[in-house]
Amino acid sequence: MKPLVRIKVIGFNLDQLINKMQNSNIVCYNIERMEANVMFFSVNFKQYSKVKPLLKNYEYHIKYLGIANFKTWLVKNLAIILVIPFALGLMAFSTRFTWAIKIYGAQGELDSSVIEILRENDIAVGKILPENAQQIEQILLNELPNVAQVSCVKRGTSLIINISKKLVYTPESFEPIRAQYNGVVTNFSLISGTMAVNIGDFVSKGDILVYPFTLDKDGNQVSVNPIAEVRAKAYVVGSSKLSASSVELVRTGRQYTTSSIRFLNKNLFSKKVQKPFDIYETSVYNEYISSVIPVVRTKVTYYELGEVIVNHDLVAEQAQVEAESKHLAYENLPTNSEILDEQTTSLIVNDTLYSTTTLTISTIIS
Amino acid sequence: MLLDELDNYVTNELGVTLKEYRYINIGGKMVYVEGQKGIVNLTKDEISFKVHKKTCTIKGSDLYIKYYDNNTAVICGSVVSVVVL
Repeated sequence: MKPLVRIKVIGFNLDQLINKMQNSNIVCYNIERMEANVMFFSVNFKQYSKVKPLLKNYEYHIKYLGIANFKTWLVKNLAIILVIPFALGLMAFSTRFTWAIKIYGAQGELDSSVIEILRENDIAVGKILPENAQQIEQILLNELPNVAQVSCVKRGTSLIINISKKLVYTPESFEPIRAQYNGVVTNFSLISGTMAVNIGDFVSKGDILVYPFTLDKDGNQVSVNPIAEVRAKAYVVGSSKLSASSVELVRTGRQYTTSSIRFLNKNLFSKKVQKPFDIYETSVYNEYISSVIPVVRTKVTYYELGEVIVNHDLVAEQAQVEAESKHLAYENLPTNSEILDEQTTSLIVNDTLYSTTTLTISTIIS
Repeated sequence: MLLDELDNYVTNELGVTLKEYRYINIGGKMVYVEGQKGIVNLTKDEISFKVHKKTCTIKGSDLYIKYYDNNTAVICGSVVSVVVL
């Protein structure tokens, strides 16, 4: 029951007063007529404002006796009355603490290092919210060398930190362009990077042709991916030789044959064969006996070889040796190269014919 | 509501309606009055209400009005009689 205002009225025509209150839609409780001119009644708080002018109009002697049912109402709502200020106090108290730290712009290790730095400075979830956010910005800027900009904002009980990383110069991320062949640089076209050689320089295979950086207006190196086409005059060499007399191995005609049966790669019927000849060559022949069962018959034939001394006519066979050296030179020719000159020289030294073919080419060596 | 159900029953059985005024005496401790139009007399021994051209008088001792609005009233105390004249 809601608390009621208890009123004592002294006067005449009290019945009329009650009827007036009835006409004004005022609900009365506990109306007691103690004497002919004394009456007690109660109204609730909302309607009390309607009752007051009514009582004044009739010039009754009025006495307010206090609030009826207040104790009952208090006991019933005691829990709410106690909890509301406690909850408000708790809310006010909790707003002094940090309940969330949100970090944007940092990833991986940087994220964890930011949290670590904040913790070292007594800023963490569950601890008192720092008053000065700019101080946190300064701390993070001092502690993190690879951070360019930090902004820290307090939003309620959350601490929001935005981090911008520095663009770090990493020269090792690009490799220089190196020479693929030996040669003399004839021309180049540079797109990015810095040339390490000039036209006319001799370069060996592996030498740096273009550095992976450029220089800015202050003379500082700025890392770039080197792109260039370097063309050089290069030499490709092919050489062969032929001795006046040489030892060659030829079959003597003697041969020895063994055979064995293998099932699932295991020998079933075989005998260990000693070396049949001092010098020999072999030929192996495998034959599947059945198309269903994996049985293989292996036949090994040993051919005896004999050493024969062969004499060559170096003059007569010079063209053949030169052709061989030329063939070897062309085999080593790089793709997309242009042949400028071809020269073959032959020389007989100590009964041996040496032939060398040198191709002068223009090729891209980068 | 009990009085509504009772009203329906009487209307069906007797063909008359009780909607002008109704009252019920609960064990001589409490009287519930519906359809009252105002207080005529209010003392500790007698409380009278105007009800549709008649007067409802509750007699007893230590009587007081527990609840009073523009249509209904609840009278508590030792009720001896309720008479409508």
